[in-house]
Amino acid sequence: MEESKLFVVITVLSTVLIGLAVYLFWLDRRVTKMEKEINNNKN
Amino acid sequence: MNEFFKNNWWKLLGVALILYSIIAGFLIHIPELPIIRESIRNLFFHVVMWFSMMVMFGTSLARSLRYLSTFDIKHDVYAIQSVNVGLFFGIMGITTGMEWANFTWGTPWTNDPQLNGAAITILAYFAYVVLRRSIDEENKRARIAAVYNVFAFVMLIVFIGILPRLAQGSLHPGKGGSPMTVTNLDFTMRLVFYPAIAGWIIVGYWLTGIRVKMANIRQHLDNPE
Repeated sequence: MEESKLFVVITVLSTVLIGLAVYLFWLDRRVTKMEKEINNNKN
Repeated sequence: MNEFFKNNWWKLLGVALILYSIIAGFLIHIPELPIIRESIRNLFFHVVMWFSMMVMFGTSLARSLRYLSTFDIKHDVYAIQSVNVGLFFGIMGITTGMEWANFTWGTPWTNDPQLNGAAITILAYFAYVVLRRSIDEENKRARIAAVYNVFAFVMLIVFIGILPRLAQGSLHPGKGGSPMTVTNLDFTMRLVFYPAIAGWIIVGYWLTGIRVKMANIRQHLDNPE
């Protein structure tokens, strides 16, 4: 069993995680903007 | 950019800790145990889900108690969203556990106190969600749900913390019938295990915060002032 196969697994999983994190940050920003807009409209 | 970092640094920390657990989790040396062998690395990906779930449910309990003492509806919103995120972790835990079990024992489920206890706990919290949906009035719902939340958490303690310890001969790692025990958890593995839990808990809080914001927005859209 080569070690290089392990590195492929690590790379794949890291990519998935980073992709998820980027998506989460984007979602967070979007939702926070909407919230700010609503609070501004309220006041 | 700096303002963004000042408010959100902890989210990056959570992601970094999980990333560390993925990389280190596969690279560190592990003890050579029969049967379980390399899959012991699942400690960093399966077991962490359970700890994160318990922390989210504990957070929900705290919020429910705060609601009962202040009647500030904000706490109730956090209570339900914490449960939602906790349920996500719990479902991940059950699913990955079944995958691991099928691979190791040849069957995805056994009649085991730890497994059954985890399943019952998750059902108890699904019942919390269902209970909430049955009540329309906001404050009544919050109060009843908060009281139920206390019972649900007690069930969690009993079915996950107490009963599995009383059982003997369970195949589940950490109990009598498996080569791996809790006390002999390798120090190197602890160096990955604890940061992983911390990372997932941080991400759990982050997810809860986003869900709370979404719920508040939905609330505002449904009730134009």
